[in-house]
Amino acid sequence: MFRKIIGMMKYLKYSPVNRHSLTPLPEEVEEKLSLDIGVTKNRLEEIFHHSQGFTIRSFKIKTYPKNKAFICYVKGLVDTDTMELNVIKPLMNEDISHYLALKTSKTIANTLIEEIITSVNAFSLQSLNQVVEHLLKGYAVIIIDGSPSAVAIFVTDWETRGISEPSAEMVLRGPREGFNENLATNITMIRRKVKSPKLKFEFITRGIYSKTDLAICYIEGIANHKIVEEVKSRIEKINIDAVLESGYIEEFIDDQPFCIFPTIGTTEKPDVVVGKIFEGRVAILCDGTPFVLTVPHLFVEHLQTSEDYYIKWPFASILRIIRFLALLLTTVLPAAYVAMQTFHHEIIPFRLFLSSATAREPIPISSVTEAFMMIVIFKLIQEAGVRMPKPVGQAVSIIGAIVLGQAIVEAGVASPLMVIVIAITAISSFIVSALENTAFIIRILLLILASIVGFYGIVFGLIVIFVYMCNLRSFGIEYLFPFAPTSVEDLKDTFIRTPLWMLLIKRR
Amino acid sequence: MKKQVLISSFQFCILLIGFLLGSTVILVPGSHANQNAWLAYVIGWLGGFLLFSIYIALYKRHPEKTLVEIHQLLLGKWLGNLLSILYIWYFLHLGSLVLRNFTEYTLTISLPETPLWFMTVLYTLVIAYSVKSGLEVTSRTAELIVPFIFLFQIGITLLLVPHMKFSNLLPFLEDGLKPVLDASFSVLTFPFGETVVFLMLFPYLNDRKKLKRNFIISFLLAGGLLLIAVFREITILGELGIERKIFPPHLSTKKIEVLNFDPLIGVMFFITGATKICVCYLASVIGLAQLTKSNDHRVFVYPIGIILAGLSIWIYASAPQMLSWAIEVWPYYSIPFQIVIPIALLCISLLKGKKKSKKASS
Repeated sequence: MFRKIIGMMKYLKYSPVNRHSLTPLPEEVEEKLSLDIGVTKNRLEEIFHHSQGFTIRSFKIKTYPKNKAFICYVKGLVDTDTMELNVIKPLMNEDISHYLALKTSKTIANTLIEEIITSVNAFSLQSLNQVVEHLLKGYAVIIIDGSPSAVAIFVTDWETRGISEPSAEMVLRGPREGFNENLATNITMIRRKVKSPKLKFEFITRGIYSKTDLAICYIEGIANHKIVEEVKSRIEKINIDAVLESGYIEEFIDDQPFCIFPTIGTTEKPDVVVGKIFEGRVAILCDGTPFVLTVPHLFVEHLQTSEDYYIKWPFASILRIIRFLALLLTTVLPAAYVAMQTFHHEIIPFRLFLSSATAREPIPISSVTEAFMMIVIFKLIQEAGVRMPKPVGQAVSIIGAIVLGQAIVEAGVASPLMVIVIAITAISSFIVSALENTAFIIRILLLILASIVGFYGIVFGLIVIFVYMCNLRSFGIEYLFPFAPTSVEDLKDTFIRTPLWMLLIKRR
Repeated sequence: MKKQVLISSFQFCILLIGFLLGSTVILVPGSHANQNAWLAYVIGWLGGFLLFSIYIALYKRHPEKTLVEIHQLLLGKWLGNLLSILYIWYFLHLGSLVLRNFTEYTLTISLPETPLWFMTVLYTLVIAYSVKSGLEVTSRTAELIVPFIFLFQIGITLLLVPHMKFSNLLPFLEDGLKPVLDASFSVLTFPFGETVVFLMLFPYLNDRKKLKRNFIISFLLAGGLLLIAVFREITILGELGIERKIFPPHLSTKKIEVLNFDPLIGVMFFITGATKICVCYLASVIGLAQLTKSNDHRVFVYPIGIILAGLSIWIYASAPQMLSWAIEVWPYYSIPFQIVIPIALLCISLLKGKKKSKKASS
């Protein structure tokens, strides 16, 4: 039954959902440009009816026999100063009669591009569909009377956020720049770090209405050819109305759509992306979001940071081990505490057992319920703190720390030991923040198992999770790669980070 | 099916080590030889090398073939299939014995009020999930967790060094060699002879040339670790201790001051026991698939799992019966499966090979 449901969901995911019922968009029918300028003007006005910002400015091209022409653009997307200076001014002032007389075989549009317009990026368009498409991308388009082609000029300029340090990935050492929402800026930031023609970008547009530009970025010769092809084919299968964030892409190209582990990496930092593409991975940039996807994404990458490679290797290795420890603590600690309290008293040293029993004595609920309650309360405080504006966020943390932390013990609802356990769990979960939600699910699962059969339950749960993780693949690569299947060569960059000269830069 | 799943030599070593450690981490192999258990163990260990060499020799005569296919090839369809069914039963039986060992251990040591069936079902579910995921995933999981056994065993042993009394090893051979040989025979059949199961898995190796080297490494590592454990138990608990107690390692770890490492033994046993059951389970499932000429062995996972769980509940009435059965009946029950049939098969294979080469030369 489950297989059937999953099959149905997969079908829904990868099939166009009744696109036929929607009215076809103007782009879907190829339409030639009319030779009569009036017809084209009317047609454009019809298409952009009620679309605020569409502007037409008519003018005359000097010394052109049929000198009627107009330039159109969408207000707000273009830089009008550049347009005035580089396009309209030369068109209205320069004499082109001798060019026209000289080269009769050339179309008027090409003549204009080659001789008059001083903009860097200009080319001719053949159909009305292309005109509409380019207008919406922020180009200015010149329509000339009697010409079968139009001229598109790149004058795009809109407000973008400046480059700043990403707040989710702070570093003590390393570049402080982060991506912003503009695809072109993001590409330049990567390009600046890899000055080689081997760095390739391939562009795909997805989203029927949003027409979001995606760039697939890899280094030729290092990235596995098969993975690049796989990424492309998976992205091309996406059929969706709008792509607003790379998370949309992530969900569509995931190997296991129902998996609780992230098998696709996200980052906001160019140096991280460049490091990953040097390891043979493929990055997917999405216009409109600073979050860049990297595939294949392995489990061990959650425990690596870019900073590990910037500081001396013994310190980096210590941090790595601390992160592994944090992952273990954040998933197992509450369950282990409950197991000890419920089934295995003998493990706790006798003195500690006495004091913990005294502390637990007035508490009316079982330690499992206590743990559940505290985990949920912690999650509430955390979620409130993240979404609140900064000044309110401080108030939330005060409530969390003082009111709940202290008062809950004094009121006799939770034992102080449990508060310590949950605090350690919470702090550890911040260390492995990329796995935070996964860790939450595992924590709850282990807690339930531990409350049933104690330590054996924890081990059962962990083994099931290990088998589950061994089943996972990210773009054909085993998710637990350097650990299982074990590769001694690649283990050099896991629990410890060996000196850079011992690490092979190229992998796979 | 055969060409798809391939396991590396490291994974093979890990599976073999996990299998050999199996339930021996909570028992003392050769314990009825009292203070001479270590000698009995060593003799059994050496015999294990010999037995495994026979299995490898048999496999080398018929590469790319599992035991079931070797049977069919050498003994014909009817006799061969009958023997295969017996072997599948044997693997299943072995798996359920280990399963019962584990459930009995948990119920005796830490969860006396939990019903037996509950632990059995829970354990079977975990193992069935791993087997359902296939040999590749099982061996990958094994290589992730089995190495921790070395850490745990050596750690516990080091913590126990202050409690060791080496005088417990004396008197040496006070009743002569006979009880020692008796015990060594049971060591040979449990755990070393049980590796006959691996005849079902050899064709899934990706590097078969290193088979001999891998087998020697795993036997040395697993055997060495067990030898340390045997010495530890004898020197700490003394002859009476290892003979009378049901689970000696559990008792000896209790002697560590301040912290109690007892659950660690349970965790260790879970890991090694799970590896062993998984291998037996996989072997019987793959065997069944080959017997019925089915392409996918996964269809058999749940039915076999139910049999495994049921068998492990019915098989013994109590823990003492389990121990006496393991010592008194198991070795003799295993003789045909572990020793007689593989040697006979090797002989038949050699004879057939000679005939063929004679034909070819004439």
